[in-house]
Amino acid sequence: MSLISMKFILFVAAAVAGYYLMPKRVQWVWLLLFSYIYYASSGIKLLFFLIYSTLVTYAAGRLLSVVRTSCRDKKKIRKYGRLIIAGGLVLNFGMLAVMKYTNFVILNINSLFGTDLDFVSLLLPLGISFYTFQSTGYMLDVYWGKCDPEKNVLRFALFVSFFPQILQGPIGRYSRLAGQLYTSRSFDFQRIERGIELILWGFFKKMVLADNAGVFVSAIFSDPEKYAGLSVFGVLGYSIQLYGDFSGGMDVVQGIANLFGITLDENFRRPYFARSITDFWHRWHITLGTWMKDYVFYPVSLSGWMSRFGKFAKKRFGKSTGRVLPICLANLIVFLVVGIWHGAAWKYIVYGLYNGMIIAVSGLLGGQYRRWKKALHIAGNPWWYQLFQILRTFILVNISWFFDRADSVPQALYMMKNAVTSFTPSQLLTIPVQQSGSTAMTAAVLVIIAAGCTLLFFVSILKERGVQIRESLAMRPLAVRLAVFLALFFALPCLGQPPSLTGGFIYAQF
Amino acid sequence: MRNFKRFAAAVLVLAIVLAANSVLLYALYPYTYSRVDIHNLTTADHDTLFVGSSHGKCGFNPEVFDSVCGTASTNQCLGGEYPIDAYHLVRLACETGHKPRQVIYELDAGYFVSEPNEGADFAILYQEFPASFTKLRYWMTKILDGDFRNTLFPWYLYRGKIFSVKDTLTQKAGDEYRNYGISSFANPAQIYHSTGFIERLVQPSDKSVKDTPVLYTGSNISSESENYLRRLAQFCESEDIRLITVTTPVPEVTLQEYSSAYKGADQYFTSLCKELGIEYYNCNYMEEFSSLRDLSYFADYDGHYYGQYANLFTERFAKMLDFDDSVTYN
Repeated sequence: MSLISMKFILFVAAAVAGYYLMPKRVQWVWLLLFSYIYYASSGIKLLFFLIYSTLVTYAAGRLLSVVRTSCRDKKKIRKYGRLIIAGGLVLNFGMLAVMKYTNFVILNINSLFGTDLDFVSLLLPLGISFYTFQSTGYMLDVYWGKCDPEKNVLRFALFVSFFPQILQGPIGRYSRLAGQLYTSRSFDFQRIERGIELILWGFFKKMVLADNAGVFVSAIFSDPEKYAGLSVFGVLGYSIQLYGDFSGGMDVVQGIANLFGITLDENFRRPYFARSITDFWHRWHITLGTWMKDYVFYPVSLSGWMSRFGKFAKKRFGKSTGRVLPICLANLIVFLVVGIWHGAAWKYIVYGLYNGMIIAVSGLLGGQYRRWKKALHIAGNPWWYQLFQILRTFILVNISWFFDRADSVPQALYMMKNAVTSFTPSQLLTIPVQQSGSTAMTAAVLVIIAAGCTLLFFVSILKERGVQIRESLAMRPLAVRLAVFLALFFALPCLGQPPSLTGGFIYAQF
Repeated sequence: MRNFKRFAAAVLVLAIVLAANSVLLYALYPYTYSRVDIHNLTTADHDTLFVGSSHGKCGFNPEVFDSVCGTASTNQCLGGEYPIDAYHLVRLACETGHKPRQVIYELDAGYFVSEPNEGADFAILYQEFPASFTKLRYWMTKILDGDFRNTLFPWYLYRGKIFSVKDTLTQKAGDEYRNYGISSFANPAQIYHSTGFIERLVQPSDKSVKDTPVLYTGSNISSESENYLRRLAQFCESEDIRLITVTTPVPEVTLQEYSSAYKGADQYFTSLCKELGIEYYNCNYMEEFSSLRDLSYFADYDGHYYGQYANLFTERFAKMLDFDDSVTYN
C-alpha cells in the first residue's frame, strides 16, 4: 500500500478513528492490528519475515533476562549473554543478508570466477532493513542493560511493526518509542490538526520539490551521454529530490504518528547546512547515523583488537596520529556498513567508503586544518568561513550523490568527469516534463522547483535560528492557519508531478 | 466553544475544497470521445462490444462488422485500456441494462506486462461512468490504489489543460457537448465515428520514428491484468455472454524484428485462453490476415491500421467469426 495512495489515506483515517473510539487499554492492540494489516497488504507471505524478526528478537531479550535472573556467576552470565546475542545477531542479520544480498554475491562470484550460477528468485520484504536494525538495536540495548526486556510479545510486536515507520524509518529506539506506543490517549483536535499539517508539509516536499526535480534527474541519469552538459544539474537536482523525498516521507510518517500522539525520533535537521561531512551525518538520516554510532562505531572502537591497533599505531606513527587512526578505521567500517545497508551494489559500497574516507582524512588532517586557519588569520568562525564550510560540504555531499544515483560506479565517474568538462545549461529546457510537454511547461516546472527550494531555504534558516515555525503558526488566528493549510493542500495537485513520472518514495525500497 | 470553532473550520475547509474541486473539474476536464463511447454503451443495446486498446480502436470498424454479421456493435476500445478497465466496461453495460451477446476483446501483450500508467488516461473512463455500483467497484479496485490526488482532486490529471480552459468552457456550454456530438474530434490525422471507431488518415510524418512496442518477455506478467481477464471470462460465462479474444495484426517488419516476443505472447495467450475456455485468434499467425500486414497499411510500426485497411481487416475478421462461429477451446 503506497503512502501516496488513496487507500493509505483511508487506512490511516480508519486507524485514527478506531484508535480514539477504542477503550483506552486496548488502543495499542488496535495499532498492532493495523500495523499487521498494513504490512500484510504488501503480501501475506511477507508477514513471515516480520514475525520471524519479532520472535527472534523477543526470544533473545527474554533469554537474556532469564540468564540474568537465574544465574549468579557473572562469568556465566557474560558467556551465555554473548552466545544469545551472537545467535540473535546471526539469525536477524542472516535473514537480511540472505534476502537482500544473495544475488549480489552470486553476481560477483560469476564475474570473479567466470561461473554461471543462476540468480535466486527471492522476495524482498518491505522495510526489512529498517525493522531488522530497529529490533537488533533493542536486542543490544537489553544485552548492555540499557533497557529491560519486554515481557509481552504482542507489545513487542507493535514496537517492531508500528506501521507509519516500518517502510522507511525512522529507526526507533525501544527506550523512547515503546512507552509512547503503549500509552493510552484521548482525542485531541489540536493533535490531529498538527499531525495533518505535518503530513501536508511532507507531501509538499515530496510532490512539489522531489517529484518535479525527479523528472529532470531521471532524464539526465538515464541518458548521461545525451545530457552530458547537464551532469551538474543532474546531481543538484538529485540532492533536491532525495532530500525532498526522504525528509518529506519522514514528515508524513511523523505526522501520522502524531495523529496517535506518538513522537518519532527526528531523522533530518537541515542537512545541507552542515559544515563538515561528520556534521552532515549528524543531520541526515540521523537515526541510521546514531544507530551506527551506538551499535557499530563504539563497539568497534572500544574493542580489544582496536585497542591493540591503537597501541601499534601510536608506536609506529606517533602519539597524535596513533590516537586518531583507530577512530578513522572505525569510521571506515561504519560507513562500509552504511553503504552495504543502502543496497546490494558496488556503487553503494563506494558511496559508503567515500563518506568514511572523507571523515577519516578530516580526522587525520584535523591538526593541519587548525594550523592553516591560524596561518590565514581566521579567528573564530566568521560568517564567510561558515558559508565556505557549508558550500564545501555541499559539494562533497553532491559528489557522493553521483554514486548513490548512478546505475553503476563507472557511470558515476563518467558523469563526474562531465560535470567538470561539459556544461550546457540550456539543454535543461529540452527535457520534456511530460509526454508532448512544451518548453514553456519545462520552464514552468523549473520555476516551481526554484520557488519550492526558496521556500524550503527560508523555512530551514528560521529553524536553524531556533524559530519554532509550527508552534508560532499554531498561535496565529484560525483564518491564517486555514490559508496555510489550503495553500499546502492545493499545491499538491497544482504544482506536483503525477506518480507515473516519478514513482513512490525512494527510501521505501530499502 | 473552542472545539466548535475547530469543527466549523474543518467543515469550512471541506466546503471550500468541494466547491473548488467542482469548478476546477468542470473547467479543466476536457470533452473527449470517451464521453460519447460511454453514453453509447449505457443508453443503447448492442449485440457486440469491442473492448481493448488503441489497436482495437483503430482496427475494428463496427459499421463494417455489422454489415457482415447483421449485428449492432460498438467499439469501446481505448488507448491505455487495461483488462481492469475492459472488465468494468462490460459490467457497466450489463448493469445499465444493455447486456451484449458477445464481447470481442483485443488482447495486446503490452497491457499484460505493464501496470496502468497514472497519466491523463488513468481516470478518464471512471470520470465518464454514470453513478452506478460498477463505478463504485471501479473506484475501489482501481482509483483507490492510485495517487490520492486522483480522488481528492479529480481534476488533477487534467491540470495541463489550464491554457485551454476558455475553449473547454465554451465547448461545454454548447449543443455539441450536450448532444454528444462528434464533429470536434475530427482532425487531419483521424476521424472519430459515432460507433467508437477511429479512422486513421495518412499523414506525412507517419512512421518517421520507429517506435518500439511494449514487448512480452515471459517474466514480467502483470498478475492484475491476468486476474482481470480471468474475471472477465467468469463474468461473461455467468452472464451467458460469448467472449472472443483477438490479437490484431502488426506490420510484418515488426513481427519479424521482435519475433520471439510475439511468439512468446502468442503461446501465453493461447495457453491462458485455453485454460479459461475462451476463443483466441492471433491474427499475426493466421493465413486469413497474412495479406494485411504490409507496413504501408499501418500508421506506425506498432500496428495501428489506417482506416481503409481497418475496414478490410474488420470485414475479414467478421467473416471468419461468422464462418468459425462454433470454434471454442472448451
